Amino acid sequence: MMEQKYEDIVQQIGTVILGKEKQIRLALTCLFAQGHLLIEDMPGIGKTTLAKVLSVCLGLSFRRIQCTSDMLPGDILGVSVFEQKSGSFIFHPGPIFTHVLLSDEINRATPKTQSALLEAMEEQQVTVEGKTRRLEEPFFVIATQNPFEYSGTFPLPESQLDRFLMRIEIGYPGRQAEHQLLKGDEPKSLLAKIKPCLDKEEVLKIQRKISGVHVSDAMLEYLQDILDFTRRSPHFYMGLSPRAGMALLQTAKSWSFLHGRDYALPEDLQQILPWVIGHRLRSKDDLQQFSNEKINAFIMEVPIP
Amino acid sequence: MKPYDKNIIPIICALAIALAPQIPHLKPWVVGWCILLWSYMFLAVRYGWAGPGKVTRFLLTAGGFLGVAVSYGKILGGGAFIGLLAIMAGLKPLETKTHRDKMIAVFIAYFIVITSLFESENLAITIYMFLSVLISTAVLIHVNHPSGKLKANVKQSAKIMVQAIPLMILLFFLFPRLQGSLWGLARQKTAHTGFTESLNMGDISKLVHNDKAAFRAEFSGDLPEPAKRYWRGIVLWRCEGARWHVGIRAPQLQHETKAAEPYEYSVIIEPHNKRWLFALDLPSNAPGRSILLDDYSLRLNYNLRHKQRFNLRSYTSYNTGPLKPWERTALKLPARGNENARELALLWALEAETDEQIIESALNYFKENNFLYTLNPPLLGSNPIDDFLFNKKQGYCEHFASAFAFLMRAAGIPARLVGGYLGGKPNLYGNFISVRQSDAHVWVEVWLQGKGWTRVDPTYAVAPSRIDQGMETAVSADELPGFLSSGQQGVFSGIQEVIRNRWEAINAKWDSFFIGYSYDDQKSFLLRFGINLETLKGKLKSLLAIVALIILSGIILSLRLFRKHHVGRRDPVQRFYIRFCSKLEKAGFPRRSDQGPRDYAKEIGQKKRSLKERVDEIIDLYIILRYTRRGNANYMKKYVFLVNQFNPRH
Amino acid sequence: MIKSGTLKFFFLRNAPIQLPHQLHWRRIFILPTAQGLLFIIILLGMLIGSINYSNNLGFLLTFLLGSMTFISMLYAIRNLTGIRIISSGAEPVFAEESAVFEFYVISEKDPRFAVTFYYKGEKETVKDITSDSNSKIKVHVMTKKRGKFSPGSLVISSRYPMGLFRAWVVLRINTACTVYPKPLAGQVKLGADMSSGDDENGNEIPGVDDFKELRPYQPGDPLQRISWKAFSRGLDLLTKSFVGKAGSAVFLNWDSVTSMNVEKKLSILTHGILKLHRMNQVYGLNLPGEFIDQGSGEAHKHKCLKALAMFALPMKDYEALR
Repeated sequence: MMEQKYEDIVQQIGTVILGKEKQIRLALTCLFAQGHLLIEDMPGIGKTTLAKVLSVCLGLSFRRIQCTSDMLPGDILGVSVFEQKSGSFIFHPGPIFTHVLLSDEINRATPKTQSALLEAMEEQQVTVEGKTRRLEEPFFVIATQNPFEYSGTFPLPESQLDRFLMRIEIGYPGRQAEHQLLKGDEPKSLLAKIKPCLDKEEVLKIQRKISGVHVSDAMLEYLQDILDFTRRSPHFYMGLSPRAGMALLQTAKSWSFLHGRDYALPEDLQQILPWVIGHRLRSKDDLQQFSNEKINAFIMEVPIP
Repeated sequence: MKPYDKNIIPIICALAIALAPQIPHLKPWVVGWCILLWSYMFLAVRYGWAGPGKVTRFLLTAGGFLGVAVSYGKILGGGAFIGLLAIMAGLKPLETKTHRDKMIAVFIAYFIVITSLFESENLAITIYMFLSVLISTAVLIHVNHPSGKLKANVKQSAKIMVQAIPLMILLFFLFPRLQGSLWGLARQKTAHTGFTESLNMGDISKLVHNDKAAFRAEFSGDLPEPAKRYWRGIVLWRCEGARWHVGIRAPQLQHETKAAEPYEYSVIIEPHNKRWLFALDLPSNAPGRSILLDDYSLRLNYNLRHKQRFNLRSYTSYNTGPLKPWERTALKLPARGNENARELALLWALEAETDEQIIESALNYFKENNFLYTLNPPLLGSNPIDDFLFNKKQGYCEHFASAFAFLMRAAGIPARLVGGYLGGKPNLYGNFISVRQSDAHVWVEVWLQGKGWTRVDPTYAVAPSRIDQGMETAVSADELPGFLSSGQQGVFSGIQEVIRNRWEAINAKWDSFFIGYSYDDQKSFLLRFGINLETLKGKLKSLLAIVALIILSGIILSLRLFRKHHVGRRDPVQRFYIRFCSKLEKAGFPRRSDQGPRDYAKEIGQKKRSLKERVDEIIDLYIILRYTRRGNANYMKKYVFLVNQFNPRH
Repeated sequence: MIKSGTLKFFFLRNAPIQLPHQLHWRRIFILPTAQGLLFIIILLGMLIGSINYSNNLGFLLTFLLGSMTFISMLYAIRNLTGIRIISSGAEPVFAEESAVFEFYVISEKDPRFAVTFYYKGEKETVKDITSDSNSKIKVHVMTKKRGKFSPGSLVISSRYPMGLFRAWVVLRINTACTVYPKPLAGQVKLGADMSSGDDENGNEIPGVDDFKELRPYQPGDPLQRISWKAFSRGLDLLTKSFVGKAGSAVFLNWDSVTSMNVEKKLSILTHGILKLHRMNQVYGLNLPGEFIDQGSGEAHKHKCLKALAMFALPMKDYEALR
């Protein structure tokens, strides 16, 4: 049943985001694995549309923030505004109080703002003026950044990149897909046609079910072999952290669940691997990140036990 | 100078263990030298001393060599050589700093081991040799892998040794042996106990105190009864009063002896550095490089320096026939001396009608005149036979035998003395008799008309139990040497006896397999495989066989060492999966090591449709068993069955 | 008929290999060491002695040691077979420093002991190799000049267990290391930032370091920033604003180095980059045919240094490094 629903969602989103099935599946996997998504791509490629469609499809609320260098943490988290009439402060929740938050060009925000956001992502709660407020579940951040622009940006440091479960690129649409895009209706009108397939409760239920996906010892061993490999191989500046290991596990579970299984296979891990570890590893040679092809080539060096 | 590293200590241990069996053969100062230098090394390692300089080391070396030259009187002879090795073993750790030095130090340890094998050959030293090689090799491995744990290195050493043993045995039995030596090196004369060319009064009673093994006789059939266990060694012809001597050398025996009651057996003789062999009375063949003399003593062409085995046949019932002309020397007596004895003999001769009666009178004389059989006979005067016969009347077998032979010759009966052993202990666990030096005995043979040479043992007249039950019962208990007296009674001595017998039985096996193995054994052994060592072709064949067997054993071991996977250690699900994959690989569908089961099944399904169904079924079961929690015994059974059935070729 | 594998073995034995690579016994050479030869001579001596005295125990010991020598040879070969070199890599170094090539090596079956790794004529590294040794094998090689450095043939050898034989294998592993030019102190004229050259002391960016001014309160300003002092004096709500300073952005230009020698120029620029990086400056690099925009940080530094290392080298070398 779940598999059917999943295919429906993928298909629905596919009517808006053309020819990007893999990315849609990955984004859904990430969401159901209770992780946050980083999209690295240029503007106008459909990031915002993807985020919007996702939230509509899943029946979740959606907010968007555009990061700039003069943005302050308060702009995201919310502020207490002084009401001169009553002489007291009233809390105005920021855009973060939503289910799906699209944070555009996160590398334009100052490190302070970035860390406030990432803190909230990690803890699922925000602390404003000494008072802790919980964010409503599910909470899902899609951050985008433009990798080609350097000046005036604050690239996310390694430790904060680690908070994103996945990093994906959307890329240009294929020729056929673009043809359809140009020929077809306006995305806005398409968006209006999308109907929610799930609701909030169902999303939470699926998230709980994913935690119960069986991962056998053989599977864990394979996962550990991969972690070991990155820690010992001289290709990498630094190996994967235990948090990365947990991210891999969670993603693999989610991927297999969405494909209608209650157990994970090595293939699941291989499918999601480049997107989960790509932003977590750097080349020893020049500290650059690896291409997906290169990561896939490394994985071929780790035999399945 | 850099300080010593602590890996010197195991090297010293290896040297000490190798040298230990040599300690009795070393001069005390050499032992002291080693202990001193090694203790110094322990301290030097402990406290990080740099050790002596070049000049000091040179002086020490020169001093050590000079010491050996002076105290041994030479520098290259057997004893001195071992002394020299010990000096080097003491010195070497002192200058051991490089990897090369350490290796050479261990080589010295190996070399010392082989010298100890030249000193004595028995099972104990063989076992010790293996132990010593084990330790030395472990140290050698340690030298080449200093970061390893010593225990692991000992294990590795044991592994190599155990794997080397089959090859060693092959080489041992197949490597062509030479008859004789390459060159006649002068060997040190170690003091061997046993018979000499001459016999003085009291020689044998001294031997009784010697617990060393003399030889061992292994019988293929029944053991001879105790009264017949006379082991013939030397025959003494010349009487010199108090002393008997071999005298003349008998010619080689020409004709076959007519005899009955044959015994087939082999004798393994401890080296005694003399030329005679010991055989049950009366030997009839000359084994190996020995000859059988006309007086039925066996004589080797060489001095017996190593434990060796001889296959013999003896007859305990025999008739040697008429007296040969040269044997008339058995009537000769010294011109003067012991006049009373001569008179007594003449008296008996006059009274008697036959020679047998004379013998009877002589034996009766011993019986009736309170002669005492004792291990501690008193010293005899200038006419020792008279003194013994008429005054002291106390003696051991040589006293009785020589007096009796003297009397016989004086009475005109040809008589000769035979030296050898009497009795021996049958082993409880093996069909052999072990004979010790303490079993040494002397008896008399007289020549009688129609009977030939006949054994007469005058000791029997005085102490009949000596012949039937051995020494322990024949002499009084307080005279016996410690090892013979049965002071400890009961269980403890019983256990001791059992252990001793067991040990001797094992020793006997060992000796007959390894120590006694000779050119003749090899020849007959190889002849069974159609290889005749007498011919050049046969020699080449045996060498070829060795090479072939070495290569074969190398291949066998390699197969073990270079085996690909320890499949057995994996869990059964995976083991059958590997089997399944290798079946497919042989059919041309190899699995990449990183390829998951579903991808693999998909790939095969695309490549060969006919396999798809069967492969999918197996893979599904595999996934259930390995990756889900639904796996159970039924699935497993089906999975195993399908994998075993699976044949990708149809 | 010769198997194609054998042919390959003879003709391609010196061809560079791709990782991961598992050592096969066919590639392993073995010869007795000097001590091994000495030991064999000692054994021959023992054999002659045993023959001469026809001492069976002597034979036994000689054959035991001989067999052990033979078996130790097999063990020596085995000590290398099955070693898997999974990957290799090296961090960039400056010319005339020694490059450290790291190899990730495991032995899936039994451990391999005291295995020596070295490049011909260089320092040896001795390590035990187990199925999960957590340490990498580091092999040092001296570098001479900038560019892409291929270290030549790696020798893996072993004398284990008894030191009587030395087994070795020579591998040309396809690995390389970037060698940056050797830094050389020298005069560099720093070019100013082309986009905003008006600021002498560097760009101001909103931050927390320095107090800048009081500005009127806007909804959304954090409470801590409100100047309560001013408010208590009866003024309007004012917010304190702060700025941080980024280092002034500069460019290193090819033409700004006065030296005529290309290599010397590169060395001086290298030194310049290192210095700017240490000072936490924002900088860019402008070389003929290569332009690197301003930036800072470790990755940026390496990018610039790599550009210098590869300057005017054949493209294929550059590609090989990617």
